Amino acid sequence: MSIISLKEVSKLYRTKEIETMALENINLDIEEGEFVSIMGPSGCGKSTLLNIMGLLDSASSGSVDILDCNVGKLGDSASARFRNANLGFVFQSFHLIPSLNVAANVELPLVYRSGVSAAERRRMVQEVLERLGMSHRIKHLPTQLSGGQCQRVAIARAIVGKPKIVLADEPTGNLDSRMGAEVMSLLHRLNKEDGTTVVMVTHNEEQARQTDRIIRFFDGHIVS
Amino acid sequence: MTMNSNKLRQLVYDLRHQPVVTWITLTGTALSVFLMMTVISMEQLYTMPFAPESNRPRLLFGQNMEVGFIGSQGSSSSALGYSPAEKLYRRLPGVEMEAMFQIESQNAEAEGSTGRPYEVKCRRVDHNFWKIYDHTLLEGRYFDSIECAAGTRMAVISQEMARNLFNNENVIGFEVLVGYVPYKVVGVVKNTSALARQASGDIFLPMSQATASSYQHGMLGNVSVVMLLEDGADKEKIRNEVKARYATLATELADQGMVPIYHEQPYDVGTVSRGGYGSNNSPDDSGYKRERMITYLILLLLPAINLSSMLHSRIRRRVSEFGIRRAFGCTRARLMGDIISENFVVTVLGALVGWLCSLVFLMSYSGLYQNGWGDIIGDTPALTMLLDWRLLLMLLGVCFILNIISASLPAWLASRVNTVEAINGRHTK
Amino acid sequence: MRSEWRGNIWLVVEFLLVALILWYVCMQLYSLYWSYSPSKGYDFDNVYLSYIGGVPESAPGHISYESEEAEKEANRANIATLVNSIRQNPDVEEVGTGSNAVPYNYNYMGNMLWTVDKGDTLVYNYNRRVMDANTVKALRIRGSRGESTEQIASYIEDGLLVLSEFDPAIIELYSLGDSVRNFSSRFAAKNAHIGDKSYRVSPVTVNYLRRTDYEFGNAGVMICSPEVADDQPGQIIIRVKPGAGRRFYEWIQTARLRAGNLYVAKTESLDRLKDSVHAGEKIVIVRMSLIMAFMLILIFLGFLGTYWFRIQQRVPEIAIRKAMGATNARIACRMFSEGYILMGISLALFGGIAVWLSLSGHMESVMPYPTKWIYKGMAMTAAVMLLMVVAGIWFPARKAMRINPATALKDQ
Repeated sequence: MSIISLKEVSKLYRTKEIETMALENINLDIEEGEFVSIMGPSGCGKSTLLNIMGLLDSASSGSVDILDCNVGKLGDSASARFRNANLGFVFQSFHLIPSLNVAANVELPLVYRSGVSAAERRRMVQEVLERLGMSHRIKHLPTQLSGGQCQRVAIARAIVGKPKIVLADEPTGNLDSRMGAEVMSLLHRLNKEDGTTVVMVTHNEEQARQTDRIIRFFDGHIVS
Repeated sequence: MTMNSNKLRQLVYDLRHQPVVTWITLTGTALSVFLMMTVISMEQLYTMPFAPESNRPRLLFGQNMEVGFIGSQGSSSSALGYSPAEKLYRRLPGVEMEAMFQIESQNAEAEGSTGRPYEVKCRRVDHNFWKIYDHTLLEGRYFDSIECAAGTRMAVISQEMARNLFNNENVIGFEVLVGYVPYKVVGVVKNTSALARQASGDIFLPMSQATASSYQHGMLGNVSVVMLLEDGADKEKIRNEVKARYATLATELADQGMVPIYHEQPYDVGTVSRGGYGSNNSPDDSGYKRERMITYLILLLLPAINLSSMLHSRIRRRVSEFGIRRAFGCTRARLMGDIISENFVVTVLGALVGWLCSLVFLMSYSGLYQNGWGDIIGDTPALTMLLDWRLLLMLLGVCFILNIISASLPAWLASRVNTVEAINGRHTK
Repeated sequence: MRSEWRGNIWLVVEFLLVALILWYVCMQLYSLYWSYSPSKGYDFDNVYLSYIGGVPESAPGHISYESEEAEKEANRANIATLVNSIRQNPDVEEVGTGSNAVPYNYNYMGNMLWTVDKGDTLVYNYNRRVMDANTVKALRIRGSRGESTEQIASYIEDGLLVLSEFDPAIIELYSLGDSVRNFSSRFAAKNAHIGDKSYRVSPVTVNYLRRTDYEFGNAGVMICSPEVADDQPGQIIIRVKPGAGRRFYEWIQTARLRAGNLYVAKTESLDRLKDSVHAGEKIVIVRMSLIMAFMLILIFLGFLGTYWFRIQQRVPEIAIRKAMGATNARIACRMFSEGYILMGISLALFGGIAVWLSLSGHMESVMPYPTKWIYKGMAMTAAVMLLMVVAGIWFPARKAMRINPATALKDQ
């Protein structure tokens, strides 16, 4: 059964001067538990696709179903709640909040989830950081961490709420090969051990080949 | 608790990393609150209760009388004569008790056993005055109704006068000359602040029909009336009753060719303390309220524009963070609320500084306090008066309103930022 | 600048609101400054004023008289006794009596005086000040053309009316012209009338005796003796020797001078009286200054904060410009010119609104000043705000000048 289903999805960006069709009639199904890579040249629409799947952006036309929910019809607050409950994000630039320590950064999704007490949040944060080998840095600020450590914290943040889907936008793009390999290993573990569906945008052919499926993009279309 | 300590930590981080903007924000807030609290405190000193005027909220005043002359444009006005004061203000429904007194103290010369004359503030009051106002009697007693009615020459003096006139505080039975007329001291009261406009004084003498001045066929004189209302009494009802009594008085005076002119009396304590109107016209309360609202608006709105701009600047540095928060499930309303509540902490910090400055200013500059005619009262409030819970509540209110006015728009704009653009730091507005 | 439109609009709005309020403040202060003019033609250093009090009927020793005339006569003698008692004091140079004689009192009593000069009937409601010849000497009142105190005193002694020239401030304010300036001189040495009574006017005039140093009141003053005014004086005016003031004051406080039913009540120096009369103006100055300081600090902070942040945002742009050859001066000029454009827009709006408010009469009750003053006030406001804006942009501009292109671009 498809956990993510896109039907005839298009995205048109319009400014005063120009119109850009970032995605055109995309049909895509991703099964539960799959680890999918999306590849393509810069500007081909990969990140746009990821943003639409992550409910960070909306399609200009077509339908997007995630977990049997037509997410295109959701309002702003409902989208936020859906993201919080079901989706996790990992970004190329980590995007950790510099003024918060590791624990506070990882805790972020739980803060926006109702019914989770402070004690429960602390326990969940501790658990996920131990799992990712970052519990010894729990009080550190992001500026005190290496790139790999930052990305591990970002992954911890993405999975602390036990989402069903993790969307990763070039998660190893700012890391060296050794750290990149570590991060990929983490993502594979999540996929295999927790059954989390992972959708990853990448430029790295080697890393893409390790995933279950590669979707190639070109000029807003899926080519294979 | 963890969430709040994270928020505080984040706020401190944010403030420390933008020192110039932080200082501007704190200074602007402090300035605004300094002026607001100075203006509010000055105004509240007219109406908030403090000893010996602890009953201020329950007081009404019959202050003046104007009589017109039938068949002529002319009129005459001043305080009331004793007889019309009784006719208009005795035993009104809803009034627990009333006292005849001089609403403005008079300057007089007093001399005690030291032989050195002092210029004193002298006030004529009747026996009920001491029940309506809560002076602290240090020695002796007050004059009673019989002594008042008889015009007995007795005086209650302040502690300071006891020292000045007699070099002594045990002065019961001593003689004091007031304007060359001898009075026997029967009581000594604790010194009162001159800000207690209707109850303060150096020397209190009995007021009665016998001692009140009177002219214009007894209609005018030096008498005013203070009324202590029953709990829950309706002030408008009392005014209407007084208005009806004016009509009755008009009928009585018609034979003498006079007509009493009604000027919306009795007045509440705020109106009387602010003054600025004559005995022949009505106070302009609505004009005063309008002026006050404009003042508040200016003092809040202008700094709020600045503060809003500063908050906008601070927020722009965190736009990526807001994108991340939105990505992880923070709703727009929640984001707005977080920004406004964070800013409230900054507002309170600046406000505390401003408030402390206003306290120092209010307690040190006596030129702020004038009567309705622009004369300096010459006294400043005590710290205990300025720490009244009403003023503290108003301080909180000022912080809250200033925060809302200055933070709402930047917070709203931050919450409307496109999440993707924010995360990528492309949002530049 | 266009990309910063939101911030710029805020600055313009703030500037406009502050300018309008500051305009009001400038007018208040300017009117006080302009109207400040201590009266000339008399001296009040070392002069004291005592009030004559009446012992009430209920006081011990109160004397009752058979008739009002008898009481008047007795009081005349009693006042003379009090005056002589004071004169005995070795520190006293001169002592006289009067009513509303000294400046710094809010006396509005006046008399309609009229005469005929070269076929014109001249009428004016002169503000009346009653004083005897000794008071003229105590106050050292001189003629408007330098005539001596003794000369003026002799006219009062002879029962003449002495008129003052009109207040020059009023003449200038309303551009009344020379004919008004010399109005009182046309009464000189003539018979003038108050009601059906006739009086001789002195051949010289004196300078106007203002009620306060900020007075904008009646234009002309008339001085006459208590006998001419048929008035019992209520004041004793005393000139003491230089340096003897404190001693004299202590003495008169404890002397308890009394004659019949009259006594010397409160005494104060004219310096103190002047201070208390001007207390209101001093408070206006303090309040207006506070408001002005508040407004100017707001504008300063507004521009400082906005431009500081903009510099932070534009570090790469400034670094590139410097790398391309822009000098520090050009960088700073760019900052200032942006500020000037904003100010220009704000001032244009302010000017338009201010002119409309003035011409439409909406500001009449709040700013009842001549039109030329209002424009001066606008100019003062603009100048003061320009200063603050320049100060507010100065610090960010200095920061921009200090940006090192290499470091900034490397960080970028």
